[in-house]
Amino acid sequence: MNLVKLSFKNLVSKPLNALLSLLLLVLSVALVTFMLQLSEQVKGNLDKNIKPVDLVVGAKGSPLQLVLSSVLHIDAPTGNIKLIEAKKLKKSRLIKTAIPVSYGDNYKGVRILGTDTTYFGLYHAKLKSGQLFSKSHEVVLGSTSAKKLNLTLGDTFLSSHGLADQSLEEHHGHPFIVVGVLETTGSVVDNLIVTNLESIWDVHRHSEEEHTHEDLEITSLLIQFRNPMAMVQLPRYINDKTNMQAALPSLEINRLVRLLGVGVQTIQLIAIAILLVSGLSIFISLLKAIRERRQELALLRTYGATSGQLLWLVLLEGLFLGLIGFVLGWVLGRIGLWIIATYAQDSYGYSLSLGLPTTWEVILLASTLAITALASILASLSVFKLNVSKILSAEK
Amino acid sequence: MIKTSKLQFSYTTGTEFHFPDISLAEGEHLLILGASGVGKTTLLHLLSGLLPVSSGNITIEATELPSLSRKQLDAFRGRQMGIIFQNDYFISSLSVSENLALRLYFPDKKKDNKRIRELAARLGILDQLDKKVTALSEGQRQRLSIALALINKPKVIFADEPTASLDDENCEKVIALLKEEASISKASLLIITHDQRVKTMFKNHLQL
Repeated sequence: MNLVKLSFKNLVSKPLNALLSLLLLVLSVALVTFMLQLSEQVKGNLDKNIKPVDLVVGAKGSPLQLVLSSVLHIDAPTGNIKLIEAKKLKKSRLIKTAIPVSYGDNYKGVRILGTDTTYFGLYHAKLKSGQLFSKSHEVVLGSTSAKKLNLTLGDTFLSSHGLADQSLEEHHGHPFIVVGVLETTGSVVDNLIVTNLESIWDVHRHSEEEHTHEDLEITSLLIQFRNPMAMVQLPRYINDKTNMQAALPSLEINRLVRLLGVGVQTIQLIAIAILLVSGLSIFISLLKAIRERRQELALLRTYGATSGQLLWLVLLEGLFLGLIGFVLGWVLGRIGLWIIATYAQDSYGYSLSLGLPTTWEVILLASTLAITALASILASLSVFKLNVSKILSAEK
Repeated sequence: MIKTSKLQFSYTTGTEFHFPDISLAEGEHLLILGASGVGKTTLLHLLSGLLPVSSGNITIEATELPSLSRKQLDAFRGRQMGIIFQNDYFISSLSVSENLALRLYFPDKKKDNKRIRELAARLGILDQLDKKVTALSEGQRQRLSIALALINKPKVIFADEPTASLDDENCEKVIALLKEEASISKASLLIITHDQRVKTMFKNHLQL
């Protein structure tokens, strides 16, 4: 038997006394860790996906929408641009690579992206099996898509019109065939079906009207700059001199994250307020516990315990509460993250890791324990004024 | 060994007590009798260092209590004294054996499961060791109080009205038990009571 054991037994012998404090603590820790992790990881995921692309050129409209649709593949495109114009732009000395992408179809909700094979280089995607597409209607699957659709090499399927899984209209007569499956990259490629541009054009070509080369359209052009000068000159040129629009993904995403950041900060502030209230609640519940256990504390003094040891006893009880609250809160936060991760994986192809505690969480643990320690010490100061003789001679 | 001289204590309320000198050799027993309100519990709290003396001196085992600091007093009490209070106090979140272990823990962090089992066996509460203290009967609680006062092998044992709530038969049993246990550990035994039934069981009396 020692102080640590006794304080723990005291805590669990009347669990209802500390329940409210514990709940508040769990709630605040869960909120803080959840929001920290979510915003950090979403930001990390976004950064990873937009990093290879310096500039997106697409139809006029919202630049954010253009970035969301063409780079992150989570929104509808702003429209199409003429292939001829895109090709003209490609000749610019400021451009290192320009990858055309085109949309239009999905298979069971998974987007079919028409592009050329340089697209895979953007995300360092490597083949796990099979080969890259070389003809129209051959497709390469991202790893998550392959798993989700349960397709392997040689399988064929018919696409549906649109980007979501709601249209009933199927394209007949143009079956796609799987020729390759990619390794997991942790980027947007995992959730795509990739084919060449011709496949997309073929699917949408109506037999009666033959398209000329001039009529061919793509959704957008993903550009990597040759030098930093391009960042200043190219967007202005495109926006002013052509009927296309240029959007810088990093700029647009930063704006989006800043907008979301206000919400994240608000929730963090609420969580910190709850943490402080839980500190107050711990203070009150320990104060109450000390009052209820006055006789036991006085008894310990007659056993030879010093006032300092009694203070330790109460402090340890508070710290136990803080530690249990933190661990439960952390677990709850991770469960929340896991639920969101499953959802995000399905909808956006974002993989959230449920990893070990981060530096921030260690700091949070330290502040949680500091707050509970402060509350416990304030609550237990009365043990120094304990009148042992009076308490033990009073009638029970 | 207990020795007091010209012991006085006054409460802030103005009540003043003057106690006759006490001298008790090692292993001796003394019964202090007095009606309620004459300061019996006050005397016991003075002797055990729970109250500071106003004037006079107390010497226990060659240590002068008034000369000790509060912390030294806590440690001295923990090592040398066993106290049976008028009401029985236990740590309610702990079992019987854990209560006894805790009494050993202060002030020297001792551990002695053998001593706990041996004493519990002698006091007839061996099969209660794993029970919560709240589950004990009145008689078992009384025995646990005695065990708690003896477990640390104290040199002096103080008992405040140990028989107040007992019937004649149990009253005799408890006193016999206390005397027996005190002699086994060669401790001085000092009992404070207003219970006249106990009077015949002791040679040494002191009337307050």
